[in-house]
Amino acid sequence: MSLIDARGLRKHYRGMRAGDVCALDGFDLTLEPGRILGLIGPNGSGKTTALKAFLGLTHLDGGDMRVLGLDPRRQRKALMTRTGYIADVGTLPRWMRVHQLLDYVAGVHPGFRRERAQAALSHTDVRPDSRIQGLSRGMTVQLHLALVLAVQADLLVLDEPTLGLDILYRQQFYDRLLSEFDGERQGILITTHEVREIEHLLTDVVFIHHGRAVLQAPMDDLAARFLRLGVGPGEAAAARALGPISERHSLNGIEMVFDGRARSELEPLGPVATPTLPELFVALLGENR
Amino acid sequence: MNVWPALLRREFQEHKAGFFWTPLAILALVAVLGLFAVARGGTGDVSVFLRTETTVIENGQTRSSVEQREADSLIGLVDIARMSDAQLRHALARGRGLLSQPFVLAHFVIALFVLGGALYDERRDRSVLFFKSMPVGDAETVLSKLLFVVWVAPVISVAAIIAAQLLLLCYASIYLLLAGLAGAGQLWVQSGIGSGALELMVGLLVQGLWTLPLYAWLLLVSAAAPRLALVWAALIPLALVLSERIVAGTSWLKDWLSPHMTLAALPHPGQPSGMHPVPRWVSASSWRCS
Repeated sequence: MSLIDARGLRKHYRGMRAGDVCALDGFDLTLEPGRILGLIGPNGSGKTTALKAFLGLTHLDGGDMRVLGLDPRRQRKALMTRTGYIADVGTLPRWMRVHQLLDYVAGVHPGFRRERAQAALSHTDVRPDSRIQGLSRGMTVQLHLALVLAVQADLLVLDEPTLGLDILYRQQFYDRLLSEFDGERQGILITTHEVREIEHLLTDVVFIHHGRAVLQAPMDDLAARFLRLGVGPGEAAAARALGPISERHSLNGIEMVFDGRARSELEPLGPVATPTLPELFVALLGENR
Repeated sequence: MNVWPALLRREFQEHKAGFFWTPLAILALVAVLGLFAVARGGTGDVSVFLRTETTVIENGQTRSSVEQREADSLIGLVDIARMSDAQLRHALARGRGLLSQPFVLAHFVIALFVLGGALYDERRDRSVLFFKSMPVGDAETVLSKLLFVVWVAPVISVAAIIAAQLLLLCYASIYLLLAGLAGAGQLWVQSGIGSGALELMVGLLVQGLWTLPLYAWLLLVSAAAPRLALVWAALIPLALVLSERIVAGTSWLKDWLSPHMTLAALPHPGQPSGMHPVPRWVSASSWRCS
């Protein structure tokens, strides 16, 4: 069974000033156990709305959706016993102390294993009697991750979890996430602007733009499907004849990205490489779209 | 899984300053002022709610006014010995009522602010996203807030009120014993502290029910208001009452609303006329049962 199975999600925000905004416009997404899916899109593309929909935190105008086989809107409580969620800003209640927060989660979450959270926190500067208000952003994220990982959820939803963290904390965060990842049954859905940093840990990627999934594919398929070609001015016309999906001028000449062309077709024209996720992102959602 | 202990503990922790430290602070104030009153020998100007139990009237003028106005007026500790049981009981009941008022009033005011901000503050600091990421239903969350403010937190106030009563009785007894005056034993016999505590408990239960529309309204507004939840909570009914008066010339809504905004159900000896008939009737019959 898929962890997330969403088809044709639709959501409009009725704005008083800006008029109606279409946050999700027939959005599809599937997440299988053992996969780490990156949901990547520009600001305002519908990422956060989609995540909230999966967690039953927002009402949808249409579409079919099952998360862990449940209807998130009607069965949020059951869903949340098996789901962990970290939002893009510190959402831990600022007035609480760390031990009070652990008490609370232990008191409401049947799957929470307190000693796991405490063990994880013992490697950090987060003290049990610290007030969350007084923790740095990095420490707050460490605390939230310790809570979420101590729950052993089947589904982790992470919305820009490392926003505003320095490089050390970011690296620690992903190391810890991966070291705890259960490839048999767990799935992770993650959004971030730091695409390059998570590229190596993703198994799947979804590009979202104007509320639609522009691309959903396993990372392995991307390498087979997309190629980047660097060409000089002389070969540009010949390369264009092969139908690049994007073209960008760089210091070294022109870089084109092709979808579904054989490496052998492109190699005579110039150096060929696999595009990175950010390059592909720009190619698919770039200014010409 | 029974999430209620954790939910109520969470409310207690969040509002400890209001519902725990405030009654304790009032209790400390009572302790200090009571001591002050006893030490001064009391001339009645120390504090309104201490008068009946601790004021000693030493000049003849005040004493004669006591005699004129009987038990309803200033009563000094020296008078206890020559009071009838009924007079003493009445005076002590009045004293208990006055003593409970700062506690009850503080709880009411804090409850308004806490409920008016409860769901609004969580939305503002986005901690609602964290709480919603826990396996707790929305109904449980909202009910736990209401239940805590209406029926759990008042228990703390009642405990503080009873502690204050005991403390003042101790002060008075010690004073009487040291001064070599009779009446210390009778003071405790007629104190009505046990039945008074029951009255308070029942009164708070009934008061909670009686004020529930107001509390629920505050919670609703705090869940929906874009900002300044308390202002919205006050302005909407005010606008409705005004429009009813302008359009229909009646005050049906106001007549229905205003009795719910009082502390009418609580024991309030001395001023029964301020009570709305319904809670007064419910409370009075419960007291009789107890």
